Amino acid sequence: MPRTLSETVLEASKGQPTVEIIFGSAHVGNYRCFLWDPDGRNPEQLAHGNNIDDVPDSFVIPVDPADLDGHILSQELIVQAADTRPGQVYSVTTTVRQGGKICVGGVIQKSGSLDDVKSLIDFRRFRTA
Amino acid sequence: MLLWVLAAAASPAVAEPRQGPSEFRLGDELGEGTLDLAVPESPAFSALGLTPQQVSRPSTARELATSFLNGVDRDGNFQTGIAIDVAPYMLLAGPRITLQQYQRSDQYLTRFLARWQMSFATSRGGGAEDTSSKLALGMRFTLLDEGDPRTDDRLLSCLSDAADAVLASADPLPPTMSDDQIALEMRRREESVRAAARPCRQEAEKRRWNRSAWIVGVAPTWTSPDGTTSQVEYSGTALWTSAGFGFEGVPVLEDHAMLAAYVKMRNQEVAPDPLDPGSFVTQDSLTAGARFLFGQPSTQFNVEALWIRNDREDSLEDRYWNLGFGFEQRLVENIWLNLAFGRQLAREESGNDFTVVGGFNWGFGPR
Repeated sequence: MPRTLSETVLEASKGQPTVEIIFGSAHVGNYRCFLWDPDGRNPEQLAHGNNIDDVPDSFVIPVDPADLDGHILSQELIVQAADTRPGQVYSVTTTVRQGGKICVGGVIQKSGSLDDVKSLIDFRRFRTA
Repeated sequence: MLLWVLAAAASPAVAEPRQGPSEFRLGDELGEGTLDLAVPESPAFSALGLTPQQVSRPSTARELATSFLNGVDRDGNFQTGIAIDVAPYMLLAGPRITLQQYQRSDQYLTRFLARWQMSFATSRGGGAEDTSSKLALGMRFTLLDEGDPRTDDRLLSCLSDAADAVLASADPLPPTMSDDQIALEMRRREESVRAAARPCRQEAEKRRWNRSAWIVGVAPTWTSPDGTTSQVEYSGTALWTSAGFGFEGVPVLEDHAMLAAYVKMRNQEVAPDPLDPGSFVTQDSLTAGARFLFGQPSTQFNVEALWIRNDREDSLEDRYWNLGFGFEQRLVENIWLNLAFGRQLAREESGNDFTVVGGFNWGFGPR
C-alpha cells in the first residue's frame, strides 16, 4: 500500500512537465529519478546525473500530463561536501514546471546540516487537474 | 650570561586537530607552552580561551536567531556557556549558490562570503563568586585559498564518481518501503559513499597541503562585571592573520615547500605573569612569525622564527625571539610523530644581556 505522499498538481492542457534539480551551498550532488505506477510498482528511470558536468540537471517527463495522474516521482540524491568539517549546511531544490511555470506543489526543497555526505530520497505523487 | 637548556620534554606536544593545508599549526612548545598562531576556526572561542563541549551550528536562519536569543535570559542577564559557530552567507544564500557559480573566476565575492565564518561565545568569570560574564564575537575571513576543495576539479569528479557508483549499484527504493527501511538504506548509502570517497579526499589533501592562502580572524570581547547586559564594557580584541605561499609554478618547491607568515595581536589581555608566577598581568601582546616547510604531506621539516612583544601595564618590557626547527612524520591517519627543537633569545625583562633557552619536544597524536 503506497504511503500518503505530497502532491504536485499538473494541468492536462499545459504539456509535458519538466523537472530541474539544483544543488546549493556549492556541494557536489548526484541524483537519479524514477517514475512509478500509482500503486508504487514498475519503476522507470527518467534521469540520472550530477552537478559537476556540463549536462543540464533538468529533464522532461515524456508522458502526457493526463496519463501521469496518480503516478509517483521518486528522486534519490547524494550530496557531498568537498570540504569535510562540521557545521555545514546543504540544500537541494527540485522544481517541476509546465510551460515554464512552476506547478502547484512543484517546489521540493530539502536542507539541513552536513558534515561530509548525505543521502536523501523524496516521493511525490502527480495529480492532474 | 648564557643559559643553555637542552631537555627532552616529558610532556608530548599538544595535540591539535589536523587543519586544512593552509591552516597548519605553527606550534611553539618552548618555555612557556604552546603558542598557537594559526587563525582559529572559531575566533570567539579562542578569544575567551574556550573549548566548548557543545557548539551550536544552526542550519537555518530561525535556528541562528534562536541561538542568539538563548544568550540572554528574560531579566537581561547573559547566559554563560553559549557557543555558536556559523557561516552566515551560506546559511542565508546557500540554496542559490551552485558549484558552477562558486567556481567562476568572476565570483571572488561569492567565494569570500561563502567562506566567512562567524562565532559567538559567552563565558563565566573566573572565580566561584565572580558573577561577571565575558562575550566575544568572532569573524574569520579567508581572503585567498588556492587549496579550496570546492575548486579542485579532480576531487569533485572523484567524489561524484563515488556517489554515482553507489547509486548505480542500488535498486530503486519503492514508495511502498517503510520509513525505517528507507532510513537504513540511506545510512548504508552514506557509509558506502564515505568509504569510496576516502581515497579521493586523501589524494586531494596531498595535492593541496601547501597551496597559497591568506586568512584573517578577529574577535572583539566584552565583559559585564555583574553579568547583565546593561553593564557591558569593551575588554579588548584578538586579531590573527596567517598567509602562506606555496611556490605555485616553481619547479620542485611547488610540490614540496611552503613559506608562511603569522601575526597575532591581542590588546587588554589578562595573562599569567611570567615574572611573578601565580599572578596575572594586563598587557597588549604581539606575536609575529614565519615558518618554512619542506617535505611532503606525510613528512615535513620546518624552520621557524617568532618575535614576541608584550607591552605590560606595569611598563616592563617583555620582548624576545624564539627560533626553532622540527620534524613531523605522519604514522597513520591523524597520528603524527612530532620532534621540535628551539631557542628563546634575549628576554629583555630578565636583566640578562643574552638569554638562550632551548627545548626538545616530542609527541604522538593528531596534529
